[in-house]
Amino acid sequence: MASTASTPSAAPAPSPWPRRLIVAAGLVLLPLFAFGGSVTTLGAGMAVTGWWNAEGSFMPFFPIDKWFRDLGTFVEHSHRQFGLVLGLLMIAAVVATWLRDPRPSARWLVTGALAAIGVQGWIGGSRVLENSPGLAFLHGTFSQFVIAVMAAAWVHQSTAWQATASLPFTQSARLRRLAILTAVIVFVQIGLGAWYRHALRTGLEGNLHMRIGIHMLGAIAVLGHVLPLAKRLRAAATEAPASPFASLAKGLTILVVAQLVLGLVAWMVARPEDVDFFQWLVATAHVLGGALLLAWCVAAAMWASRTVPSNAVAEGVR
Amino acid sequence: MIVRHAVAGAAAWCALAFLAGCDGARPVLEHSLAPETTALDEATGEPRLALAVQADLRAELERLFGTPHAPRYAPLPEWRASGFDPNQPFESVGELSSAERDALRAENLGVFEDELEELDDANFADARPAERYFDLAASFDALATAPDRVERARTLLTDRYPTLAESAESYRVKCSHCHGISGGGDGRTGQFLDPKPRDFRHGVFKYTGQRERAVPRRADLLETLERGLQGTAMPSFRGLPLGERHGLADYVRLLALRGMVERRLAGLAAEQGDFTRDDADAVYAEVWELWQRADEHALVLADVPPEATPERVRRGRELFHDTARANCVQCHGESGRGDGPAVWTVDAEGERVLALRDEWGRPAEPRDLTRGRFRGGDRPIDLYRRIWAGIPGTPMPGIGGTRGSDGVPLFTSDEVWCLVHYVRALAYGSADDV
Repeated sequence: MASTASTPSAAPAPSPWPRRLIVAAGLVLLPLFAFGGSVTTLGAGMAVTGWWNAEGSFMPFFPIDKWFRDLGTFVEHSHRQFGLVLGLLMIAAVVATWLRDPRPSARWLVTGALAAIGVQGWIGGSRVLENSPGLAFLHGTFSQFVIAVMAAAWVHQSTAWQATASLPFTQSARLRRLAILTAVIVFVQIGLGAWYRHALRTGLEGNLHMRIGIHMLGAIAVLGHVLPLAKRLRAAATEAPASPFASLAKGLTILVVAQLVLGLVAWMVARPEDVDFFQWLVATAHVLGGALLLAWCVAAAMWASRTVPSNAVAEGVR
Repeated sequence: MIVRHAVAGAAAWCALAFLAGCDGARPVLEHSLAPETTALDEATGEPRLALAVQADLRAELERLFGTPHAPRYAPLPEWRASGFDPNQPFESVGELSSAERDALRAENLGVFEDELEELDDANFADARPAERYFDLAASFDALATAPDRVERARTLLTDRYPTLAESAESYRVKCSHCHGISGGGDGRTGQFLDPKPRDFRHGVFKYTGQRERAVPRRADLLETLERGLQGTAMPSFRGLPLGERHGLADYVRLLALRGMVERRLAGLAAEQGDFTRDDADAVYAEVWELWQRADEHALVLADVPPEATPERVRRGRELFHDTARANCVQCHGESGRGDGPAVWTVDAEGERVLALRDEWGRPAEPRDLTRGRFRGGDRPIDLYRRIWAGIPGTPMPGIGGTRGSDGVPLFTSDEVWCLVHYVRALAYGSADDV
């Protein structure tokens, strides 16, 4: 079937600044997550005493010699600094969006993303001030919510999204439901991973096998949803060739397979009492892969929400 | 479709969880021996303490203190005569004051409000406490067939005091990541902390209200839990229920007792090659006595603290700098920044290194008094305690108990207060006015 994607009527070209800032913030998320995951891998969440007032220094100006004094401090403080950069970029993105983007949905989405980042930073800071493993787990889990909102904001600001009003797909409703369900399952699965990783420091060594077992079962559930979603996205791509469905399907497949392999290797080499470079690398890649998979699922769910049954498009329904 | 997916997913999870043997059992934890107990001899490469002796020590400690899941004090025969049972909460903690009991009861009325309402409606089954109060829940279950179960259940709830097992679980969740399961200060988070978390096994606690380097009172442990230690990773646990804080103090004391018994028995075995069960019981009783008598060592203020007048601050400065008397400048330096002449030394390679060490063999840096961050608290009474009694486990000596050759105290209480006022002036910026 030929693509029948409809586009909004002629409107002034949107400003590129909100998109640029969201993309920049999205890119900062990668090192932020890599360092954040490393903090958990190393158990270095308390390597820098204090938050905002970091060992007597205002946090952004923490002395360089202290920053590089040991691996734990380097990882923890780098994580904080990238968090700070992300927050500043998002403040700029919110300002740019409210000034230059007339869409209320875009304005509130990016504002919501900034709020989520603020809450996430506050949880992280409280985790340090309270030296609380429970808050550390919450910080790790809530970060996935931040990823989800940021992914939604990124898609919402993309030129393709702004240029597309609806996409035809015969099984539109099923695709939407499956995409949302898959995103939720991936979110829960990452939460289970955090549940396992954060148990490494609270004397739970004895029941780690139970936690990792449940996380592995979660991997089966993820696989059982991501692959059908990718298949359905490929089907949607045949009906709407101009859509990003094909690349979303490819990305989901690659990411879920990579995550399975990385997760398996991470579990096989894990020795939490003695973390070496390879363990760190695999664990960090697995954390990043999980975040990307969730972002991809959110993007798929966003695009799925743009589909309408083929006959509706033919009748001009948007 | 969502329902189908959810049902299929849940079924698959349950089936696989069953196959994987995931029964939700509590984690299996064990106490460890201290590194100095299991250390190897540098010359021979053999364990300093024979492996068989280490195994005996492990077994004796388990007999005397139980496991992390089932902590329990072994009752000694001589305690039976006096009626002392360390496993009875109120007895083991020393008689709680009526005010403390009232506070605990008042808190329990709030914590178990729903359960008590169910009991008011005579719904015994629905009043069962949550699983995290596992010992309480077990006591509840034991009442199921008793005719007066509602009344007895009400008493269980209102008079609830955490058992050692419940407190051990609370400790595992909230404390072990820094202090370690056996209280050695070797939890996984602990390795990144500076200062390091306290190693309870020495029975030495820095910030207490004792007049000597005695083991702390329960009140000292509770105070640290409630206030945290400023400038360290030790947070305040004031947000926890009072009962839970009491329970944590009890469990910290158990770990300290266990560690002290371990160190003494290991020392005994190192001297005589082995130890007997009688030795273990004797050491156990000896260490217990230290804790039972802790209250006798409390520093009691004889009079109302004197006011911080300029004259007293000036007098405090004189004492601070007087090398023949308080000699604080030796470590804290002329300006109070912790840079006195005794602090640094030069090692064999010509490097400038800290000369002072603490009880745990770590470098001990004197506090920079001008920063105003006093770990043991910045109230006048906190500083008075530090100056009077010193800081146990560190080179900081106390001056309050020092006496001349004629037996007369070298410092009066008023002079200690003068030092307190001067230190506070250093910290909060009014010393220059004097």
